[in-house]
This record gives sequence, C-alpha cells and structure tokens, in this order.
Amino acid sequence: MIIKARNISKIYNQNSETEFFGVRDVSLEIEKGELIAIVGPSGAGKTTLFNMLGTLDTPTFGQLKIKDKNVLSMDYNEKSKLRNEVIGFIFQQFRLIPTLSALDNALLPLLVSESGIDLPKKENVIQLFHKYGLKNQLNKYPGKLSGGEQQRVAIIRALVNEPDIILADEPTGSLDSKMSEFVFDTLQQIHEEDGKTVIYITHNMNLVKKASRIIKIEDGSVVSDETC
Amino acid sequence: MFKKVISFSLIIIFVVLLVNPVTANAAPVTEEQIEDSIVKAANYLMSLQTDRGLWQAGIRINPRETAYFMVTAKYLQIEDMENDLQTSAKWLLEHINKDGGWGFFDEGGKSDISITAIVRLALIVNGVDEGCEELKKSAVFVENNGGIKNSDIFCKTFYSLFDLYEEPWESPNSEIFFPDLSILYLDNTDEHSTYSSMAWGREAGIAMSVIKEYKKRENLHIKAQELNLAEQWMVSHQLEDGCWYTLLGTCLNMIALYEIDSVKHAPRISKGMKWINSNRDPDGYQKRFVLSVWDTSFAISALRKSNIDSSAESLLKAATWIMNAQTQGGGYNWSNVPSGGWSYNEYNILYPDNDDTALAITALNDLHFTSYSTEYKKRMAIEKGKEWLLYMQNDDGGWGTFERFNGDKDYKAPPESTEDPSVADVTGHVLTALASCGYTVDDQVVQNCIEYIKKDQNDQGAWYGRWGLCYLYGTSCILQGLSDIGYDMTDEFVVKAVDWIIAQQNNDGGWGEHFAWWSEKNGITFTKMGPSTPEQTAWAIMALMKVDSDKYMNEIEEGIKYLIENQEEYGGWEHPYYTVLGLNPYKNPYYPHYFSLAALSDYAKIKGIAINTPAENGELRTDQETNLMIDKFSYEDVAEDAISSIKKGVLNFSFEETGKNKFLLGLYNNSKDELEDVIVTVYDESNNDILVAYDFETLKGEERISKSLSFSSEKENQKNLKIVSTYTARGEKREISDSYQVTLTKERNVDISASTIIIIVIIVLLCVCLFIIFKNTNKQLIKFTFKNLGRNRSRTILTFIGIVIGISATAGSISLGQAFDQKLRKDFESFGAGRIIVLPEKVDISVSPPTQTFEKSASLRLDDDVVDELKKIENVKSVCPVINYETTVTFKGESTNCFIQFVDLDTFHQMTPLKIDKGSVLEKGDGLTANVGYDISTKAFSETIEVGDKLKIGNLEVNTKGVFKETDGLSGRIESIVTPNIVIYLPLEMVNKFVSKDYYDVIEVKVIDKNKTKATDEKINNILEDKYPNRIFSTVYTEKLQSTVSEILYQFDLIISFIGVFCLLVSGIGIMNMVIVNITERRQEIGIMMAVGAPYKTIMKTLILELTFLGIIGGIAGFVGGLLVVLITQYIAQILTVPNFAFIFSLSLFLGIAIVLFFGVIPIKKALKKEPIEALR
Repeated sequence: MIIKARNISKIYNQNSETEFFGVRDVSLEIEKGELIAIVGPSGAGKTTLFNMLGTLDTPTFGQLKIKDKNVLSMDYNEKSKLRNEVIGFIFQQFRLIPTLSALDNALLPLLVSESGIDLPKKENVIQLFHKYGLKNQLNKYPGKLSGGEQQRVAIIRALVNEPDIILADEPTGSLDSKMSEFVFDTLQQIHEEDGKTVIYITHNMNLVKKASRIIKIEDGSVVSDETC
Repeated sequence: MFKKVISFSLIIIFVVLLVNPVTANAAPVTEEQIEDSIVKAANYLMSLQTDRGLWQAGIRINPRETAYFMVTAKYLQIEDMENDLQTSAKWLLEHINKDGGWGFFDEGGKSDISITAIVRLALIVNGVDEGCEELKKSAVFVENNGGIKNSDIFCKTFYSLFDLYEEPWESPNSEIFFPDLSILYLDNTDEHSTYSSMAWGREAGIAMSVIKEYKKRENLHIKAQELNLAEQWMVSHQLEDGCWYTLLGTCLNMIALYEIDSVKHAPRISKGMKWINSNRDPDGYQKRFVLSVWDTSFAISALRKSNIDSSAESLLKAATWIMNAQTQGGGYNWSNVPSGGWSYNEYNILYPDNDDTALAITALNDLHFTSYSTEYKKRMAIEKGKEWLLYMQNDDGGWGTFERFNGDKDYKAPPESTEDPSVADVTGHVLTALASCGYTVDDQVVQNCIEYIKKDQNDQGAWYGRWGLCYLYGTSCILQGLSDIGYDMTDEFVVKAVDWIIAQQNNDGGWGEHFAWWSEKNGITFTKMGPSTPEQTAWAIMALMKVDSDKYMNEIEEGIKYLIENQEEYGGWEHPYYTVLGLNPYKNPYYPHYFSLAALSDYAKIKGIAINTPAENGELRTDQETNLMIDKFSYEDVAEDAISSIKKGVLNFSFEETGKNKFLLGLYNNSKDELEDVIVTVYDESNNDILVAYDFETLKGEERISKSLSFSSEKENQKNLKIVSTYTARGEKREISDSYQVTLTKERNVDISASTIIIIVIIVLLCVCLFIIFKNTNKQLIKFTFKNLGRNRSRTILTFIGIVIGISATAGSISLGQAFDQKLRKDFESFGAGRIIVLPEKVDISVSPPTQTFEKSASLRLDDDVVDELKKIENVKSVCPVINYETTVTFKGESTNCFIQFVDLDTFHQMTPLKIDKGSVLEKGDGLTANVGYDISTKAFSETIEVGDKLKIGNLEVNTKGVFKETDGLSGRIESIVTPNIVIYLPLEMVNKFVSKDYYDVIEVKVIDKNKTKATDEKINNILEDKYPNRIFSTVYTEKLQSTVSEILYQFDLIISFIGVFCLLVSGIGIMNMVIVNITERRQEIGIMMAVGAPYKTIMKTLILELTFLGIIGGIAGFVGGLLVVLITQYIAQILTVPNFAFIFSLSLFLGIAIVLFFGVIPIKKALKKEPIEALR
C-alpha cells in the first residue's frame, strides 16, 4: 500500500462564518501500480484531495501515510524530500519556470535533490526528451514551446527522479484533443512500463475510462470508489 | 713817546678789564671738570646704596618727633626704655635754640611754640628737672608766646594725657582732628568720610577722637559701637612694620589702643614701639619716616642720566626692589582704586601715592632688564602703576597726593593741611612718568592736566610745590613735566615761569628758597629766597635745560659752576638747609647728591660730553632664564606609549614629531620640590652619542628642556634612545639613577575612521556568513541562480535600480553629513589640540543666554603674575604670552595693514599648531626677524614673500625667517582668536620697538596631557577667578570651541542625521518593495521549487544568493552614485573636503548587502512559510 489516507479532511476558512469542508472524511487506500482517475464536478474537492495526497497541502485532520510514512508528522524538509523522491507532479498549467530552458526545467528536481545532477542522470533526462519527441526542444524556453510540448517537459520533470507516484491534475485540461491523447498515452505508458502509481484528475470521460480505478467525489466526499 | 705807548696800553688794558669783567671774574667750567664731577658724584651715590639695593636717606625734620616718642613711651609705660629716653632727652636739651625754645630745624632758627611746648612736655614727664636751665628758658619762651593754648592741637592733646591741659578738643579749628567717629559708618566716597582727609590726618584723627572719648569718659557706653569700629579701623591700619603711617600717627594710635584695652592690644603697641625704636638714630633723634621708594627712584634716575648702563646690576637690583615694593591691593584710598601704586616705602601698603608712583615709573622706564621675564614683570608693574595714575587724576586735571577727588570739592579757599587737592609738583612728576610711558601732549589726559597747570600758576609765574621747598620745586617739576610730555615750551605761561626762575638766581649762580613760616591751618609753607642750595640749583637748571638750553645757557652754566664749586671732595654735596616739605620742612641729605648729579649729567648730555662712568662697566646681570630651548619645532603624537611608560618616574618626557624626519624630545622635571641634583642624559643607542645632557638644579628646577632630534634618513624608521636621569630625592642621601629605553618609530597614518572600521567588520562578518551558507551548495544551483537572474532582465534591472537609488541617497547623505562634520572638526583642530587660550575679555560663543548678569569691574590684566599663576597649574606644559599689534606692512613697495603677534619664543614653538614650510621658526636672539603665516606670504602682496625677504613693519625693517604652512580651517579672526594664516609673528623682545604695551593680549597655555585639557581649563578658570576676583577674562580651547560650535550646528546636524535615517528608511523600504515584488512575481517559481521537493534551505539560498549578488552590484553602483551626490553637493556648497572614499564605499556595500538581506529575507521567509499549494495557486 503506497498511500493510505484515513478520514482526511480539509477545512477552509476555519473558525469563520465561511468555514467549509473542502474534503470531508476521505479514506483511501492506494496500492502500488494503480492507475486512478479522480472524477467529480467542479468544486467537489478533487484538487484539494489531490494536493493533500501530494503533500502540497496539509489535511486539517485525519491520517495520511505515504510509503508507510506518516506525512502529517513530517517537517518541511522531510515533506520536500518525500515530494522530490516519491512523487512526480503534472499540472494542468504545466508549471514550468519561464526563465529556465526546457532541459533545466526538467532537471529541476535533480538540481534541488540531495544528490544533485550528475552526468548519467542528465544523459537519462536527455534520453527522455528524445523518447518524448522533444530532442529539438532541449534548450528552448517554455514560452517557445507548444502546450503539448510544455506538458511533456513537465512529464519528464515529474519522471526524472523516478518517483513511485505520479500525480497529475487535469494534465490534459489545457490541451486540444489530439495533444490530450498523446499526453495521456504517455502517462499510461509510464504506468504500464514502469509500474508507477498514477493518480490523475480529469473531466475527460475518455480518459476516465482508461483508469483501473475510478474515485468519484462530490461535495468533498468519496461517493464511489470503483475498480474496473 | 714811550710814555704815551705805556699809558695807552694801560688805558686799553683798563678798558678791556672794565668792559669784560667776566673773563677776569671766572674761568669757564671745563669738560674734564664736568666729567670728573659726575664720576665722583655717581660713585658716591652708588656707595650709598644699601645691600638690599635701595637708597634710604636719614631724614632730619625737627625735635618734635623725638618729643612725641618720649611722651608716648612714658605714657604707655613701656619697659626698659630708660636709656633710650635719657639719650633722647639729652639730645633735646643739647639742641635748644638761643631764644629758649625748639623750632622747625634741628638747631638754629626761630623757635616754635608748638614744638617747644611738646619738647617741654617730653622732658618734664620723663623726669628732667624743671629747674634746669633749658626748661626754665623754654618756660619763658612758652609764656611769651601765649602759653600752651597757642600750641597746636596735638601738643595740647598730649598735655591733656597727663592732665596738664583740659579739653583740647574745644580749641578753635580743631574739629578736623577730632572727627565724629560716626564718619566710620560712611562710605569711602562720602564727602564727609574719613577718606576725604589726607592720609596722615585720617590716621591721626581717628585715634585722636578715641583718645578724646576716653579722656572725656562720657557716654562711652553709648558710643560703644562707634568706638568698636574705630578700634577695628586702628587695628587694621597698622602696617606690617608696626607703624601707622607716620611717627605721630603711630604714637596716637598706640595711645588710643592703650586707652581701649592695654592688655589686649599689647602686641600691637609693642610692634609699634619696635618701629619707633628702629627709626631713631643712636644719638636719640627720632625720625618721622623713611622714604625708600622716593630716594631709590630719584637715585636710579640720576644714575641713569650719568650714563650708567641701563642694565647695570646695581640699578637692576634697585629696580627689582622697587618692583617688589609696589602695592598690590588698592590701599586704603578713596575707593575702588586699582592696585598698582607705590607708596613711599615698601611696608606702607595702605597709602600708595601719586608722587612715589610717578617717580617709580620714571625710574623703571629708564632701566632694561636683560632677563626677559623680569623685564616683562617690570613692564607690567609700570603698566599697573600707570593705570593707577590715570585713575587718580582729579577732575580738575591735576594730581593730588594720596586721593582723587571729583569736581565737587572746591579748593578755591586755601585748603586745610589735611586736605589733598591737586598739586603742581606731583602733577609735574606724573607728566614725566606718563611721558616715559609713551604719552604725549595729544592725549586727553595731558590736555586736561595742562588746563590745571595753567590755572594753578601764581601771579608771578611760579607753581607752589607741596612736597619740596617750594616754588622752585613746584615750578621745576611742572616745567620738566611739560617738556617731557612734549608741550610747546615757547608758550606764554611757560616763558613767564622761566622768567620767574631766572629772576630768582643768586649771584653765586645757584638758587635757594627757604622756609619763612608755616600756616598751621592751611598747611602752607611760606618761603623766601635765600642762599643757594645744590638741589634747588639743580631743580632750576634742569628746568631751564628742558625749556631751551641754548637760550638760557648762561644761567645754566652759572648754575653748573655753582654745583661743581660746591661739590665736596668725596663727590657729594652738603649744606645746612631744609629743602623738603613733609607738611613741615625737612632735610633729605641725599637730595643734593642725586639732584646735582642729575643736573650735571643733563648738562653733559647737552654739551655732548661723553661720560665714562666707572660703574657703567659694572657687572651685567647674567640671565639664568634665557633660552632653554635648543630647537623650535613643535608637535605631538609620536610615542604616546613611551611617555606613559616613563611617567611613573619623576621626570616627564614627551616626544613630538616636528617634521618629516624630526621630532622634539622634551624633558620635564615634574617634582622639583622632591628632587635635588637632577641630571638627565639622553644617549642615542646606536652610537652612544650623548644627544642632550641637562642639569635641572642649575635651572632652579623650574624648567623643561627640549631638544630637536632627527632621523638620519627617510629609510631610518626607528631610533633607540636611552634616557638616564640621576637624582637625589630630598631627604635622602643616596643617589638614584633611572634609565629608560625609548624607541621612536615613525608612524604612518592611515585615515580610517572608527565608523568605517565597524562597517567593514560588519561587511566581513556578513561575507563570512554568506560563505558558510553557500559553502556546501553545488555549483549548478549557483549557476541556476545566475541563469535565472540573467534571463529576467527587466526584473533584475528594476530591483537593481531600486537598490542603487536607495544606497546612493543613504550613503550620499550620511557621508555628506560626515563631511560637514569632519570639516568642522578639522577647522577647529587647526586651532590645535591641548591648547588653551586665556583672553582678557568675554568671548561669548555659546548659544545659550549668559547666565551671569552682574558687571565685572575690569578686564583681567594679563601680566607676568598671571603667567606665573598659570605656570604653577598642574598639567600645564608651557605658557606663551602674546601681544597683538596691527600696523602697516610694506613689501616691495606695496603696503597693507597686517595683524602682528609678538610671541614669547621660549614657548612659541610649542604653542603654534603651525608647521613650518620654508625657512625656520623664530629663535631667541634672532633679533628683528619674523615668521609669516601662509596667507600673508601668498595673498597679502602681489608677490609671494620668501624666506630672507625684507618686510617693512611700521618703520622697521624685518627679515623673514620662515613661512608657515597653510592651516586648514576657519580663516580670519574672532576678537583675539586669530587664524595663524593671517599673522606675522615677531619675537616678544622686540615689542617695545613697535608699541609701548606692557601687558599681554593673549596668553596661550599648552597642556601636557591633552585628555585633561578640560580639567586644566577648569583649574585655570578657578585659579584666575580666585586670584583676580571680578576681573573679566575667558578661556578658549579646541574642544570648547568645537562643543560650542557643534551646539550651534546642532540643528543642522539633526537635520543631516534625520535625512540620513530617512534615506536609510526610504531606501530600505524601496529595496524591500522591490524584493517583495520580486518574490511575489516568482511565487509560482517558488511553488514549483517546493513542488519538485526543493528543501527550504535550497530555495532560501537561491533567493539570497540572487539578492546578495544584486546587493553587491547595487552597493558598488550606489557607491558611485553616493560619491556623485557628495561631490556635486560639495561643489555647489564650495566645500573642499576630500570625501572619505573608504567610508562611502564600505557604507554603500554595507547597505547593499545588509539592507537587501534584511528587507529581502522577510518576504522570502513569509513566502516559504506557506503551504506549497498556496505558492502555486
């Protein structure tokens, strides 16, 4: 079990009149190698859940274990390390640093990791660029890349540290259908080839269908959790 | 035919003899005779000088004094006086006149009822048999002359003591001698106060009234308070030698005190008696007073005229004695008299008089001390005396004797003998004295005086002299005084006076005027012309020589002839006549000596006869104080350590760097009282040369010594000295030898202020911190950071500009404020550290309103006394008196008015904060040479003054010996504080060539320990306030000036620092703003970094690295910007201070790094505190 969440809740605007639950008492158990789609209407709490699972946000209460480690008792740097080594993020808005080249962006997790960048790792990354058809875009800045290309750079960035979990928040939300398919194929490929746990949020029913497990969220709570 | 020839010849011879009787009559006086006479007279007069250096004639007055003594001694029942009284009685009995009484002269002449009566009393009460011939005869004389009731009031009073006369106070016209004691309550200046009567009358009067009260024995208890006042008065008026002004005063006061309480006042009475005894000749003759100041002054003047050197030892000894005899307090005169008059002898400190003061001044002005400090002391004594005389001038323009009176007092009626109006003889002497001080007929004082003189002349053309017989004396004094002061001697009234004098010449060529009778009431002596006397002849011809020696040569030569013919073989003159007046006529046996000598010498001068007085070559005073300075360089700061290590010893050492390779070694014997036989030797260790060896004992232990030493070359950086001092501590026999090793090292000055150092230290610390932070950071991260920076140019540039502007503004304003501050400081440093200036005026430079409102009476007279006081003060190194002077200076045909300071060369080099540029500093014995300030050298004239150039200062040519470097700072002068740049310095010894100024304008004091300047200043103030109460003066020193000025500039400073802080804040906020914008703008980036798992530190590092880089670059740019701000402002404000580059640079860098970090880290930290998702959102 790679992720184990028990009764995690996120309360926004706590102790004020506008207090509301972003996520309420969600319990999940995610096994290694699962391909999970999180679905639900807008504002249902998908992203909140996603952020909490990716340690980008902290549950107001509840328990969260990733790789058997209690995330809630971790300090900043432990969480950073966890994210750096175990989790790769893919965002709808790509989240590339505009002042860095595609390669530098992809290398960022390595750069900030304890081990840093060494030549073989860099070679590896360049290999990935080749693999995802970006060999000509290595030194281009994000502004010069198309959305699909940017998202692929983001995927490479998510992969460079060979994480166990890939978290993707509407990875294809900003892409046209063709590019969406390509990007999702890439994700699926990662899941299948490397056996990584991939959790993604999407509104695209086509993509939902490809998941091995579909978690449906409404009003902050899991309304259905089906394994296909 | 032969007969005819013979008879013709006889007729011719006869006719020739008849026509020209003079040739047959007298041979003219030859030059040899004159010279011989003068030499003899001078030698004789010199022989009369006492061991103490003064002249003191044995005065003969009349038998009355002897009688007073005898009566008093008897009445007071003084023990062990039998022999003395008998001797005196014997003298009196032997000196009875033929007419059966005693008179105004020792012997001969007519007798006087008062004198006869008192002598009789003296003899009778002392047990002389009344049946003896003399007393019988005198009883008849008294009876024939109206009895005791016709005698004077003192005589009657003495009779009443023995109950031989009743109620003397009821006698007519006696009120003045029995004043109501309530006058003691009156203010000195009151018209009826006891001070309105002449000194002698006042001293007698109070005692007389006390005697009266005790004789009357009425109402003693009612008058107790007044009597008590009188008692106090009498006690306090006894002089140090025991006397009350005169013999009569002494007798009366002793009796009065005896009446009050004979036991209580026994010590005073015995002291008075001691004085009386000491003034009695062995034959029993009692003297009235001794007039040593008077005699000594006249003797000095006469001897000086006889061509004895102005620095002859004997004369200087006499002058020193006179100087010491000057009264220090104002005396019991009228009121608030300044101190500085002379009285007639050294003990009489209560009654300085104009006559003695004038004579003393004239005599002192005739002499010149070789010792500078004594000469200076002398001049100060003269100055004080002169001030006194000027104060004492009566409103009618003349001078009285003891008092000054305002115009209210009307002397049209003949004055009483106790009154003190202006008199001609004193006025004449004062004019002569003022002339010797440089006064001329143009001065207002003199103008007023001439009015008086004209008014006082009698119908015949003569003036009445009160203290000499009488018209000859007064007229001579006036004519000499007028001539000395430069009055036109052809004026009508002068001619009238001269005619009168000439008309009085006797056939023997001399002049003589003699006592006829004495008006008791008016105190006027009536005289008649009679046999010639040498002194009166001398008075007449001295006056004639002053008026017109050519015109009256005949009369003068006849007088000279009379003098020479009457000179005794031993060189002096003798005659039986009384020529002096002290209310009664008296005889001063020295009068003929010194006046004749003076007259003969004047004549010799007119005739151009060179007199080679043997005494001229008498030993000159050797001057032990001269020139202790071996070299003249000054200044400080070389070996502070060395000094402190040596200070534990009894000697103080100082080292002052005096030039590039020179320094001045100073040695001070700090404990002169404890040490004996101090010998200090300084060796140069490298070659064991003795650099300086000094024996403090020969210097009377009072001085410092100094020696200029130099490094042999530029390269020599060190000099090792060995200082050995050998001394014996007082009370110990054993000799102690201390030796000190001193190493002098040249110092290289790097001008870094403390603030700069602190800032640099902070920068270094920051850099160390940064280094530690980034030590383990991989290079890629740094590369990454710079890549990032380089990519986002606009953001970087904006942040950078914000930083640069902030830093420029802050660094600029702070260093600008600092520049102003430094400039001010520098300005006042040029004034010289450790230098205190004493000014005889109030220099009020403080901004606070004056706290004291009362008026002090007069400025402090900066004289040698003050200098001596200052020298005594602890921590005072040297004291340099300065006289200011302003005159026209001509250089190569151009003239301009310049400021000149005469400086004491002993200490000048230590005082001046100046450094010599060209030539060398003035040294003693240079004569008329000058050092000129920079501005004088370069700007005063169109051509630059170089060393060796001749300047014409006033009328004298002066050689330029050195030119000073320019001093920074203020230029010009505030009252007596003058910037050295605009000064011409001349030696103080030369001052009298330019100006007759006998006091200093400024005294500069240099302290040993500069850190104690403030304490020393306070001490100076306290001591001067103490010694010279209510005198205006002020002291100024660097820190005081600085503090007062910074007080003034406080607001300016406040604004500057406010602007500095404001700039710091604004730029800080600006920088923070830029950083916040930066951080906000890159929130996403930070979020991404977080998301990809960058540790806190890593994000921090990248951001800080970025900011630091911006800060450093911004700091450097800010330095340039700040420098520009400073330079532009300075250019506009015309301030030429070199900006402190180090300070601005380090400040900029500090601001760059510190502010950027301080204001940058806050938003960074804030951003990092959030959840990553918030950064990403």
